[in-house]
Order: sequence, then C-alpha cells, then structure tokens
Amino acid sequence: MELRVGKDGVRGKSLPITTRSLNKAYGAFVALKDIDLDIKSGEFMTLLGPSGSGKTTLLMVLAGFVRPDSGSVKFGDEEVIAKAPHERGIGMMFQNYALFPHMSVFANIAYPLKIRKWPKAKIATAVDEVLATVQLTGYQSRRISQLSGGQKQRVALARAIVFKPQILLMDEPLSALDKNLRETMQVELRAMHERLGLTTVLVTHDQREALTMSDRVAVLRNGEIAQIDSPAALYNAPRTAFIAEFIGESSLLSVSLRDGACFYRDQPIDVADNTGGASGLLILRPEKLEFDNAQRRRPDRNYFFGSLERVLFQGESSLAFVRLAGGELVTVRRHLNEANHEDFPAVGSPIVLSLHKNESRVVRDDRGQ
Amino acid sequence: MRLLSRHLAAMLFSAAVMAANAIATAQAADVVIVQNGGVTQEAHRKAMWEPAAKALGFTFDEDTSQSWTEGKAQVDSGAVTWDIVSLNMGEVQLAVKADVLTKLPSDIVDRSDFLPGSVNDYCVGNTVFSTNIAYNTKKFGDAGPADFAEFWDVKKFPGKRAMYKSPRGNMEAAALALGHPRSEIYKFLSTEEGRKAALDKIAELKPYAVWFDSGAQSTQLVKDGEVDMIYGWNGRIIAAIDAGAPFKINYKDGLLDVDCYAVLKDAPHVDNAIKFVKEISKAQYVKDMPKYVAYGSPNLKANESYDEKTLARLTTSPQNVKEEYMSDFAFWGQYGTILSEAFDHMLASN
Amino acid sequence: MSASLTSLQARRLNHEALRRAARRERRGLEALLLPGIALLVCAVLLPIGVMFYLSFIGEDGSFSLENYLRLWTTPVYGEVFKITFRISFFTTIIVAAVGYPLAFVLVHLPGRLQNWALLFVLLPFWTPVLVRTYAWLVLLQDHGLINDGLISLGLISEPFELSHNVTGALIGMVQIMLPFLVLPLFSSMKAIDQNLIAAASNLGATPARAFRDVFFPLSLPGFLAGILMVFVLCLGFYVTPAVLGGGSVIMAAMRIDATVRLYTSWGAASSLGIVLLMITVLLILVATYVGRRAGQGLFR
Repeated sequence: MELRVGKDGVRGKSLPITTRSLNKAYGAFVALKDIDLDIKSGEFMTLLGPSGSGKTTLLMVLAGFVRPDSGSVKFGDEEVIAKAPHERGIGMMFQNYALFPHMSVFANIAYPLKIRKWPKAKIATAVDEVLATVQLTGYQSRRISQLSGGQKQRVALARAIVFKPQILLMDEPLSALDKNLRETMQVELRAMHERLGLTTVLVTHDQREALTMSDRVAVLRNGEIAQIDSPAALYNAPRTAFIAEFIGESSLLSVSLRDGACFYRDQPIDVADNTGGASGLLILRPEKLEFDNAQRRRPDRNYFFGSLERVLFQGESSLAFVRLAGGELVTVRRHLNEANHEDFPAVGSPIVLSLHKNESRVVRDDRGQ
Repeated sequence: MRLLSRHLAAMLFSAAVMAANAIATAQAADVVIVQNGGVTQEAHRKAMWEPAAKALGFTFDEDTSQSWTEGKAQVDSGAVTWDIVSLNMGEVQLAVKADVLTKLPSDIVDRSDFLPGSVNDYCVGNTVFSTNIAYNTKKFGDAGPADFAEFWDVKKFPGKRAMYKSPRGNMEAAALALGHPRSEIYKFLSTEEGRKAALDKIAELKPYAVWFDSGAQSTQLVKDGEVDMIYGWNGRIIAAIDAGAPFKINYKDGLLDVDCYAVLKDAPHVDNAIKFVKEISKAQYVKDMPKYVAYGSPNLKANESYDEKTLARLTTSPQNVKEEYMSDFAFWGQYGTILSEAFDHMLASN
Repeated sequence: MSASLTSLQARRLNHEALRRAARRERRGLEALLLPGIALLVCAVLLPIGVMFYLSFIGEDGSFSLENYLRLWTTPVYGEVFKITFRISFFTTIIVAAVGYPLAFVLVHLPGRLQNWALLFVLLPFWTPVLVRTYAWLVLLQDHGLINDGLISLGLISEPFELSHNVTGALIGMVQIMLPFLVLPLFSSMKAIDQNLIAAASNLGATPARAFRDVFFPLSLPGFLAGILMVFVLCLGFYVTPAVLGGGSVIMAAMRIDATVRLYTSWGAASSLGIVLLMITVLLILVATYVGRRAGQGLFR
C-alpha cells in the first residue's frame, strides 16, 4: 500500500488492482476473455474500446455489479471477487451521474457517510470540505434538479470521494456533457487525481479523453486487452492496425516483406519497426506526413507520390486528401501559420509526400477480426 | 321553485336521454313500451305485445328499464320518449305523488276480472308474483318449514336462509312469525311497536341469512345449493328448480305482489298507450304468458284455460292463491321509505 | 423612401406578422383544450352543480335543509358511511400490501416475461366487473371450488365462510382494484434509474437499505397515486360488495340507489351524493397535503 500526501494536504491512501483470468460470457457472447490486468497504486488507468469490447463489463466486475464466470480480482492483497458491491468500499462515478433526485446536494454527499454511521458534526465538516474541493461551496441545500450538468458532475465526484475510498471507478462520467465542458472537466478530474492520488479506473469510448487523462490506457477489443500502454506509446507505437485506426487518425498502406526488406508496391521502404510479418500495413499519421520535393531527397525519409484531390480547412489546420499513384487515398494534416497559409498547390497537382524512417511502422492487419 | 327544480333536472338528464335517443324511433312507432328486460320482457312481447299490436294495427317500440325513477327523470326533464312503463304496484303511490303518471279511464279493464288490488286509477296489473318459503328437499324431505314460525326456528331447521335485502316481505314474514294472522299483519305493522318488534325479529335471523339484491342472485343461491331455504320470488325459485335444484315451494302465507302497466305523464302517444294497455290486458293474450315464464297475470279469467301442470306453477292458481295474501300497497307507500332506512340500519349495525 | 431601414423600423420589421403567428399557434393549442373543457363542464361540473342545488330541494319542492337533516338524524346513513369508509380503507390496505410487491417483481422481470406478466395483471380489466364478481362466487361460496376442494381432500369438514360476508367483499374488491394500484406504481417504478440503486450499493448500502433510502421514496408518488385512486374508486363500489358481501356490507352507492327509488324528490339522493363527494374531496386534499409534506421531508 502506498501513502501519498497531495500538495494541498489532502491525504489519500490507494490500493493496486490486480485481475487474473477474468472470464464472463452472456450465452454465446464472450464479454471478457482471460483478462489479466495490473493497475498500480495511484495509477490513472483508462479502459478504452468500441461498444461491445468488454470495457464496461470489466469495470462492473471491479465494482461488483457483474459477477464473472471465473477469475480473480484483488484490491491490494485482498481477494474481493465474491464480495457484494456494498462491501467493496470503492468510489464510483456513474454515467448520467446517478445522483439521488429526492435528496439535496448535502444528503447525496452525506449518504455514504450516514451509512458508515459517522457522527453528524463530522459528516457536515466532511461534506463542506469535499464541496470546497469540487468548488461547490454553499450548494449544500440545492436540489439536484437545480444543478447544471457540470455541477451535477462535481457533486457526483464529491459523493464518490467523500468517504475516502482507495479506488475510484468512473463509467463514462463525461459523456453527457457538451464538448467544452467535457474538456474542462477532463483537466479538472486529472488535476483532482493528481491531488488525491487515488487508484482510478476510467471507462470511455472517447480516445482523446483516454489520451488526455490517463497514465496508461488499456484498449479492449472483443473481450480481450489488445494493447496496454502509456498514451504516447499507444499513439506512436500502435501494435496493430486496429489500435492505429482506433487511436488517432491514420491511413494504412499495404506493404509486403521480401528477402528481409519491406516494399510498398515495388518501392522499398525503410521501417523502424515491423510487427506485421509477410504482409503488413504501414501506418501513415496525417500530421507526420510532409509535403516534400522530389528533387531534394533526404536519405532518412520514405517518399510517396500522388496528386492532390481536395483540401479541407479546419481552423488550426488543413486536411489534404492525396490520391497515391497506387490508388490509395491518404490524408495529410498541415498546421497553418503565416508562412504556409495559402501555399497549397492547386487541386489535381502532383504531390510528393515524405515520412521519417523512425515514424515508419508496419503492423499486422487485424482489422477484420 | 318546483318549476326551477324541474328545469335543472332537465339539464341533468337530457344528456343521458339524448344519448339513448329513442326520440326518432319513438316518433316512428305508434307506441313505446318499457319492461324490466330479460325473460319477463320476452314473455310479455310474445304473449301480449305482438298479437295485440297486430289486432290494433299498431307498431310498437320497446325499451328496458330497471327503475321507475328513469321514467320520472323523463317526465321531470320534459323529454318523454316512453309511453307505457311497467312498475311495481308498491311504487305507484310514490309515482303518483311525484306526478309522473297519467290517470287512466275507469273503463280500461273490468276490475272484477282482476285479482283484488291489482288495478287502480293509474295502473293495470300485468304480472302477479309472490314471495314464498321454499326449501331444499334433499335436506328436509317434504317436511320443510311449514310456516314462518318454523322458518325462524333455526334449531328445528338449521341452515342458511336467503332473504331479500329489503323490508318488503320480510316485515310481513316477521309479523307472521310473531304469531299474527295474515289478516292482522298490516294492523300490527302500522304501530311503532309492531314495526320495531318485526325488525328485531328479522335481526334474529342475521347470522343465518344471505341477503340477495336481485332476482338473478336469488336463483343462483338456490341453484348452487348455497342456502337450505329461501324466502323469495316464486318465478325465480321455479327457474332454479327447472335448472335442477331440489327445492319445493310452500305457498302457505305467500305474499302476493303485482307489477303493473302505467302511462307516463306527457307521453308522446297517450291515447295509443291507453288503447294498448287496454288490449294487452285482455285474457286472450295474457293466458299465453305462462308458456314463456313462470308467472301469471292478475287477470284471473286466464286461469280458465290452464291445465293442471300450468296451474301448479302459478301463484295465481286457485289452490295456491287461497293460502296467500295481497301486499298492502298503501302501507308500503306510507312506510316504505323509513322502513328501508331502518332495515338497512338493522343490517349495518352489529 | 430610403433603401435602408432606420433602427426603429428595423426593430419593428415583421414584428406584427411574427406576433400574429405566435398568437395563431397559441389559439390552435387552446382549441385542442376545448373538447376536454366542454366535457368537463357538461359531464362533471354541471351535473355536480345541479346535484348540489337539488340536494336543497325537499319532498314538497321547496328550498329546505331536510335532506341533510335526515342524513344527520337517521342512524342508517352514518352507519353506511362508516361501513363504506371502513371497507374502502381495508381494501386499500390489502391492495397496497399485495400490489407493492407485485409491481416490484413485475418491474424486475426480464423484458419479454414482463410483457406477459403485465398482460395477466391487465387481463381482469377486460372482463366486466359483474362477470368477475360471479366468478369469485363460483370459487368462494360454501359449495364453491375452494371449499368443495378442501372438503373432498378431507382438510376441513365445514366450509370456510368466504362469501356473503365482509371477507368475500374484500376478496372481490381487492382483485378488481389491484390493477388500479399496480399500473401507476409499475410505471413509477419503471421510471426509476437502476443506476441509482447501483450507486446506493456502491456507496455502501445493503440491498435492503438501498430499497429503503432510494427505491421506495422514488416509487412513492406512484404508490400514493395508486392508493388514492383505489380508495376513491372503492367509495363508489356497488356490484361486488352487493353480491359477495351478502347483505351486511351496505355501501353508500347502494343506499343512494335505494334512496333514488324511495323518495319522490331527487334531493334525498343528491344530498347523499354531495356528502360522499365532500368527504372524498376532503380526503384527497388531506392526502395530497400529507403526501407533499412527506415528500418535502425526503429532501432534507
């Protein structure tokens, strides 16, 4: 068990979470398949995946709402797999907040403390404190229906942490908020996590949210963990085509392996990393491709040739669609500044694109699975 | 004030009357006649209305009503669509007091042909029924309660008794059980003490009584063997017997009662209605009524044409009627209301 | 004419047309209310007003308080009101005690099964009350299916007195009233977010505690609405207590019917109706007040 002292003095104890061989099937549908997951004490772990990937089931298994068919869940050294939700003592934020509509803000937040039979005075102090933490001082007697979405979110957070749990679970907590508020709350929740040091597990289908908030992200697919890594590693070094497509934008080019060398059609490609086997996919991130000049080739780059099909203005950047000679359509993002503001070639012009060798990664094509 | 209240009543009931909208058809037919539905209405239609209408060259329309107050509502609202209604003789006095009936010509029927008391200035009797003791022959053989003293004797005749949930009939029965002869009943009941004694006597049977609200219910109680004896209406008991119930009617001290035809005040076809009542009361039609229902007409001339079997089923046959007595409608007109309240109070209080 | 509008004109641009459009829309909505209002006036308010007026008209057709005095001085009316309220009260209690668990189970059944179960709850709704009442008689009477069955099995020697008494009336009324409680309660329970129960247990509440603190209070509005509806409907009951009650259960409706037949003026029965209505309205007001107070108590 790790003990942390936040910078404003809020003491937080936290516990690691360990799962082993978790299996859960609903009839023929396999929701979880042999899930082994190690979440470190105080870590912010995000479970990311498309719908039906098993991420919510996994979170519900941790919370105790879904009973798996087999496996183990440990908080610290304690096996909790057979424990009922109310015996697990973990904080949780629900989708749509799940605030009790018939109770005031105070009663909502005090509820876990009342159950734990705290004395009245201590409850009042704790609620005041946690309301200050979520910046809702003075909202004690408000009714839930009188709160805005963001305020409800804060009350839900306050209720989830007021009883000083050592683990915090969040089930798509921000999905009901509009985009601006969601981004603000992402930053706030992340800051709160740093202050409290709780082991936190977030479920989301929003990859940007996952990248923004997490220490590590576990990408789930068909009930299995496809890749588990830091956000940067996940983005920069996706292990499969599915991850590459799911995290960030990318165009994928079919490549083949001949005599130890990698070819796009008949053009040799220098790659930094090849996990694709005999025929893999080369990942082209739009922002990593550069418009280049065929006359001044640099040895550390791979070159691609095509023609400009269309340019979309997107504010801070423009997105160009380039049709390669082989017929594939790739996208290129170009950040705009004074210098390159209006120097796109005309639509239809021949285009040369280049990608640094260190950014050239070939992965296995697992998209169809 | 009276006029105003009629106006308000009109507003209250015209909607319902409109909905029933017999107006259009009422205009189309020569006369509109109303009965209380079911087998009785069917018997009256087949035995009397249809042949009589044919003889007069009339067309008629019919409707169904369960309470004389529906006719009253029509008269009070000024939207009368019915001509002839059938009501209980005991209600006639109330209806006359409420001023909803047309006075009939004195020569409408020959009163000497009719059971005494079954015709008056406003009403011509159409059905005679009686309230009689009947008992389960499986339980008591032929030796069931012979009179009301025995009907009240729960030691000699244990078991449940079905009785009408009303003072009518039960007050008379209690007076008989108290030892008063048939001829003295109403004299006894006309005193405060007499009424109280009779109600107290009825109260004695409360633990053994099943009170029925409707004729259909009394038939069901007898048919299903739910009671061992009944003080109920002869036609309803016969219906149960016909359906296989092992019951026997004891006509001794049976109470005769009459339903009658009256013509509503301001009826759309008053003249036709009077003609029709006169025709359908004739013996040549009413003699056919027992073919369809176990009731007879108070027109005793019909008896001449009946065989033994039919006579045995009719409460108006000479052998049955001689042991029975006629309800005193004036008594019920005077005391019916307060006795109903006192009776329900007796039932409701412990 | 200048080509550009002055600022005042600009602010008034199409102002009238837009206001007319808004008014038209509002009128359209108001017109939709008219049939309902007309029905309410013609079928509810007007008759009650007439009934109220008639209740002050005596037997001789003049203004009089005799109808109300009679209700006060004739003992039967007090008894009948007492019986009516007592029977309605007990029916409501039993319906609530049976209906709440029933609705609770219904709402927790899986989808398809739930539809079937709901159908069975509703089925009696589509059968006339009279038919259902006689069906109960077939089951409950001394020689009915239940008693005959128990006797032939040798379990009892004398039949249970299940019909023609208060027991019979209660059984019949409870069954007929059950859907009136279960339906509003079911929809009230159905609307409860299951996440709230999950949240409560996550915060440490045992299932019983989560029910007490979260599920029950949130189901209360539907529960109270159902209870009130059942009680008020019971007050006007006629057929079932008449047939299954066997005479001793005299409800106000039966007395009203008898009174209509026994008095020449409408006033006698009208006054009974008015008193029943007043007591009912009073009860609803009290129940609503108490319900609201209880509701406020929940927000502490």
